[in-house]
Amino acid sequence: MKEILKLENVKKYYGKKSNIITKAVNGISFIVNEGEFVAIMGASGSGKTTLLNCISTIDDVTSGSIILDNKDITEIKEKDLADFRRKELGFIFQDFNLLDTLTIEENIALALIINKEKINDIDDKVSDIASKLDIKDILKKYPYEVSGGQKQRCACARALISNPKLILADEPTGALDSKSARMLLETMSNMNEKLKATILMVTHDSFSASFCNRVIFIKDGRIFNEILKGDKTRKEFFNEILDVLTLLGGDVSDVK
Amino acid sequence: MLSKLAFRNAKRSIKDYVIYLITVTLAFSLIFAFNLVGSSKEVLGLSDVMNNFKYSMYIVNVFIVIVVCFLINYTIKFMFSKRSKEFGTYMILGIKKKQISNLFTLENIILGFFSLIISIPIGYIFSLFMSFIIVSIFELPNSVKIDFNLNSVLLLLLYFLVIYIFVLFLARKRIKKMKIYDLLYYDKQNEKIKKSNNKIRNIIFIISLILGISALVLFSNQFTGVGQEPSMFIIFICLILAIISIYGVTITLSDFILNIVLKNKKLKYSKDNLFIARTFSSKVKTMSFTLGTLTFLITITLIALNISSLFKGMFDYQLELNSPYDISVEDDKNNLNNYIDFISKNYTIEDKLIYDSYKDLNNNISSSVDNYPGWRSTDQIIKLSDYNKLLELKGDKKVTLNEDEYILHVTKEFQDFIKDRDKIKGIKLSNNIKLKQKDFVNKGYTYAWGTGYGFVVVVPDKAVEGLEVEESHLIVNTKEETTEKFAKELVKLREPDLCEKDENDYMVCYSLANVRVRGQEEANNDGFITITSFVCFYIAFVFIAVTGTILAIQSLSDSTKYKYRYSVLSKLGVGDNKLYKTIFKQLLIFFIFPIIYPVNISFSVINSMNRIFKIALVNDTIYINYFIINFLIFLIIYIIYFTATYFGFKRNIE
Repeated sequence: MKEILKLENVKKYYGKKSNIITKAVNGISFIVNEGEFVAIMGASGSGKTTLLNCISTIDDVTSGSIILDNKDITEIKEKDLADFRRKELGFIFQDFNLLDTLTIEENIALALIINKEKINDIDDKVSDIASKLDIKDILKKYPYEVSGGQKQRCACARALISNPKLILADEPTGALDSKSARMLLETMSNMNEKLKATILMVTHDSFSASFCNRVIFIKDGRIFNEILKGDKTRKEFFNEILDVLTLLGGDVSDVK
Repeated sequence: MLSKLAFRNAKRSIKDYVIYLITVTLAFSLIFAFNLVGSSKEVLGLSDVMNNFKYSMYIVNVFIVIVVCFLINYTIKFMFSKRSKEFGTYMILGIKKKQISNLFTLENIILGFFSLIISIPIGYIFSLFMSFIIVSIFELPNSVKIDFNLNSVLLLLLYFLVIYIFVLFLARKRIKKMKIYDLLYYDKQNEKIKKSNNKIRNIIFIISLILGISALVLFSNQFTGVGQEPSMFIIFICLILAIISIYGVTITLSDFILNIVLKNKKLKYSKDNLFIARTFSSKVKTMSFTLGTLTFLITITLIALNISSLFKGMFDYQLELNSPYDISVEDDKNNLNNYIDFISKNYTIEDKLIYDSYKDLNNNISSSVDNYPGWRSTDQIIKLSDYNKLLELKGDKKVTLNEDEYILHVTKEFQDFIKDRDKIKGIKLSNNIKLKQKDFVNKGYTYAWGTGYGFVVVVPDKAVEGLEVEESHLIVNTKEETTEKFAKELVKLREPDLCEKDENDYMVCYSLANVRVRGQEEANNDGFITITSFVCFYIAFVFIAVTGTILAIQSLSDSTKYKYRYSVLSKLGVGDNKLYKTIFKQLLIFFIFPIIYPVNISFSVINSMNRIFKIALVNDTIYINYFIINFLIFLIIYIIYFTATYFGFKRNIE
């Protein structure tokens, strides 16, 4: 299997030299292969979002390297980062980050428009992905006219449409009710299985994590444990995640 | 696509960023209005000196443009903070920073241009309103028509370009520096918590205060009295010291107060003090530089308003001193009818008085002063009955005299020249009549009663028997307002006496003082005063608008952030009414804070300047009245901004 993402001893410290340094990410290394659906779990403050921000080039690392498809993204120049993000990465955020001034359709098409693809191709691709994610009916609406679950599926469509090497999701179910959350997770699972998308998701919710193939646990900026789903059912995998979380300690109350 | 996005966002922004539009429109409207007034042919035609007015307006405009730059820069920053998340999203999607920067620039140009267009008609309406104010302030004869001229529009366009090129350049530089992380999480950023060292802060506070006081003392020493010219260099140093002091005090004062509140447990835990003090202090820490600038602007505003009043007071006093009546003439009795004929051809005569003034050869008064400032060789005597009519025509109260009494009426300057006031308690006129001094009046004298004296001796009617007539006077009040043009024609009636040819064949006119026309005094005499007064008024008006807008924007942009804090308070069991009270208090402190220091500074400055101005003002303490009135004017406008902010804030929280 092909390696898509490789982290080597990534560190991210906050604070200036004279002050107390916060070690948000303190030497993390792992590999994500093509076609995987990986969850990163941990309590709040464990460094998971910081880690995701580093991978997504939103934030820079203090040391270590992040290699995406044989390219070290910590060494890409600032002016080339935009191109890199556009071509290689897709994003799904907790609070959707859709543009209010654009319709759902335009939001999805935006990445292609920026890539200057042909207009006919854009239309085809948008309607294709929309039907796969079951949001064809709402394409002409504006983000404030649709539900949270629909918004998030729109965000998924936007992330998928340019065929990125890796999709990064930050607490995608965080702002959704349990029914919408379940639907979204099934959608993402689908994206992974049928559309062969590689997804890295950060979450503190074990239910969400149980939809993945692999879960990496983080505590105090370091990897604590890692478990694979293998042939287990989702239910079994869920229970296994809960067990690890108990071991992990801290705020188990966060866990559903 | 980029332009489509920009256009859409700008269109939507109109709904969201009303504050921005109002700010920019207001700023440009004010600039445009004052320029229209300043370049209007009729205003410039008011008198010969008004040409300088045009140039002083250009200089002041440079100053105003700088302040407006500051304002618009601030507003653009505010808009940017509102849009940061959106821009972050663009970057996530792979749009280049440069493109985003272009998009934002384009949007601002669209919005700015839109404001510019609306500000032209609004500015025109402002200018009409302003011309009304000018006419009433400067008691101008006719209403002033403002003509809409292309020159002002072009000038406005130039200012627009200068401001926007500069401000957008700054904005682009800011965007260039921003990281995607900052953009995405901009709204989650807290006010900066700077750990400040108490000791250093206290020292800075005290040093700033000392600097401020020494600046004021130094300034005050420059204005010891008439005749001593203030050194521009020292005034410049005072200005620098004052600016440093203003910023220093503004930055440290809130922390200083906070410390007192926190140290005193009783104060700390009573009512909502803790919440308000903390909120306020963190706010001042984040925007200390802006607040310092606002404090500085308010200081300038108050000083400008008061200087405007001082000059206006000078103008009024000069007018009353020189020409309280519409027309006054001194000439031989035989000639007076010529004047009356000429006047009645031009105007309707409402009141008319012809009287004689007499000579006292004993010179009781002029011989009792050091360095007699007049140029007459005899004292001037007028009859009580004439004096009373003169007072009446001026709108003053009549007086009475016993047979053996007299009144000495002098100008303000003249009283300082009298060395021995007791010596003139009793006088003996050249017709051997002895009189006791009943009154010594130093208010309300006018040169229209007699040129070249500085005083007049009022005696009972009988006491002038045996005195020689010095000259005859004609006083006329007309129904219509007199004009400068009429005055020039009236003077021609006396030309043979007033003017003669010198050896080079030039016509030299010695004095026009024997013919006084109010219209001319108004139009001509005090062009400089009018200019200064108007310019100060302009500065004050723009600065109040700038300060009010920035405070309002700052508060309103925070209201989203405060929503969370208030919801916490609400969850802790604070009722709605109490919440509103807290909001009110919090905003009130925020608005009052930048006024405190300026009030003290400006009062001290005006107090110093009054030492020079008082000679040309009605009395020595009138400046206190001016100060109070001006402060009230300032407060009224300020309160309007405050009220608007309070209600806007409340609506945002709900």
